[in-house]
Amino acid sequence: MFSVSFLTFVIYAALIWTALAFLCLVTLLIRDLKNKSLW
Amino acid sequence: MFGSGIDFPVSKRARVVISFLVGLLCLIASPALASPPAFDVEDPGKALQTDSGVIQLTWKSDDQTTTPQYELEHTPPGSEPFILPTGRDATRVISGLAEGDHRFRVRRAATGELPAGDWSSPLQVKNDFVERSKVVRLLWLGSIVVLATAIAIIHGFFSSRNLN
Amino acid sequence: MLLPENHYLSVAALSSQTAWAVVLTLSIVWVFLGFYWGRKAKDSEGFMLAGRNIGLAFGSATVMATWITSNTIMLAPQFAYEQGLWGVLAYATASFGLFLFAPMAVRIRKLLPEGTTAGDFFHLKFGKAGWVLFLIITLVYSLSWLVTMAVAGGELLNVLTGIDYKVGMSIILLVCVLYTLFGGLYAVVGTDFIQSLIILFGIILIGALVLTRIDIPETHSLLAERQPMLMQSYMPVALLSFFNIMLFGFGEVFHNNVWWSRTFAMREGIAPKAFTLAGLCWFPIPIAAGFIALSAGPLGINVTNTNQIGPAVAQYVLADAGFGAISGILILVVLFCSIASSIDSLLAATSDLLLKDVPQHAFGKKLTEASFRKAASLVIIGTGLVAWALALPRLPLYQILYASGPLVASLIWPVIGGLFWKRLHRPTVLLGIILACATGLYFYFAIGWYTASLVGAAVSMLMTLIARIIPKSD
Repeated sequence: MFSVSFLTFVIYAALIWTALAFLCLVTLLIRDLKNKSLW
Repeated sequence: MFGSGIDFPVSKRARVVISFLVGLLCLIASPALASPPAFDVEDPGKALQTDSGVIQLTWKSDDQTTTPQYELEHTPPGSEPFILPTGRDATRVISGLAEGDHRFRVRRAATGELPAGDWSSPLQVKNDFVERSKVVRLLWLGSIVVLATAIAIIHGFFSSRNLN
Repeated sequence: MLLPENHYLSVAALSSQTAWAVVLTLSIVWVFLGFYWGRKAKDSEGFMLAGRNIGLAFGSATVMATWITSNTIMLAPQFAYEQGLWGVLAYATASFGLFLFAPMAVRIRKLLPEGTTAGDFFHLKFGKAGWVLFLIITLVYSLSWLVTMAVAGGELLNVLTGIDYKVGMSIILLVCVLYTLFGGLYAVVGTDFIQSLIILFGIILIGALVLTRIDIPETHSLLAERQPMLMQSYMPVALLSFFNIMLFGFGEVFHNNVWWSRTFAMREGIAPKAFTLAGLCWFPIPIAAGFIALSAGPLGINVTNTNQIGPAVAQYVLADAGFGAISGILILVVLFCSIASSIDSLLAATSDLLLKDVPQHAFGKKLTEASFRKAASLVIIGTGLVAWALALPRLPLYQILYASGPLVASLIWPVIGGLFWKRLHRPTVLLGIILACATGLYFYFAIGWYTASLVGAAVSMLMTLIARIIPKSD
């Protein structure tokens, strides 16, 4: 059976990872806007 | 009780009989004696089958209470029973069932005014997963195909880097 | 923590006025953006491929957003509730197709520097017969995906807002048709970026709130006691379909013009980075969106319908946290975005194929620039109308979508072989595609859906490998 630790790790990792994805896209947007390389 | 402004000469025996009949009527009409819910299945005596560990249970009741609430009792194989309140819903999706025979019963749950009703006849649910050998075979085949696909792509990428 | 009283699993409708206000606001915003960004498209290349100049931010977001469909948001919780932790982990592997497409994108750009569609590749490598096979498969798959998204949109609007199914479905489809019509790929990519941020934000917020309401050790303990298979490392139902789901995903990404058009639309060198990044961003989504369903039991929620377990648990948790009416609005907005971000991509990619491929590869003609815009409008509107007509009676096209698994999986190895191998016996590859489709479909109906894509891919792999050994004949 998956342990409590593994379940906790998976849930928190998924949420933190999703938050990082959000930040990454925002950062890239700012970078591309500055360089005028959006599209 | 029969006050209508008209006096009828009623004997003492008649009054006793009438009171008894009225009391009996009240007792019969009492929700505490409504028949317990029954699972909505074609053949109540036959066990339901599943191979996924998931089953949807539905039941019906002739309970005259305005808003009956229910509770489901689940007895997994080799374990003690536990209660799952379902509120006003007369259905529940049960998932994560272990392999083996499960037993379910349902009844009207106790509320502030009324005690819990009687349990329904039990419903057997048999969960039988696909045999392990089949799972292993598919896992092996899948691993080979996916690995081969990934290798082909990566190898192809590196080999074709200098190609036009 | 287990709450003492029972909670009904129902997705409470927003008030009619609020629902209409949200739907109309979103619709107006997307259509306006479509019109505004559409001004950048000066010619057919601008319309279909956004000038072949999309950067990393928009490139990653559009790939990620398109791959997040309402299935991701709705099905992931359902998988979690029915198949447990393995269910959502298996779902997350659908991102592997994006990772593996990254190196393929490099080769695609090299092989077809002026390419426009996936059809161009199939015609180049496998001739007209190969192109026709590809077109049949991709249209069956794309149309069934498009219609299931439209149906899902109508049903979700009905459940969340009380808006009649036909009206809601028509609105979603009309909005997507309009902004795709006005803006082409510029509008699709631009709106995808906004939609992806909204989706990510919504998933993080809901997931975080669920975490504040449950105690993971207690949740685990209750699941272990009452729904033990959800926490099992050997969960047959999830493991049976593990590689099947992955290969279905590979087939979808490797063959479909939705992804090829993005590859052609991105600036030089951007596509492999964008697909890799999109895969990384997409990977946690099914887990983050799905795990909330595991908390249904521990939260005392009575599950009556697993189809809606995700939004129902989300709404319960948000309402319990004091978000009130905003909870319904947030869920509506997230789901609207996930559906729209897929419908617009499908509309654009499918119409590109019909606009460009059919005249060129079937009739040997090319549309002139002068006639392009009018033709594009007709095709996009026509595609939208066909989808609408099929969605109206709520045909269960999701069955066709699932059955298209072996069809798309049959194209995995032909694409790999066509991209990377100089020598391929074309008739053998084409025979392999047909055999793979037939075998896969047989397994789908006779054995189970969980075998179909795997078998299709395996048969096609075998035939393509044989085709590599046979001396080239064309």
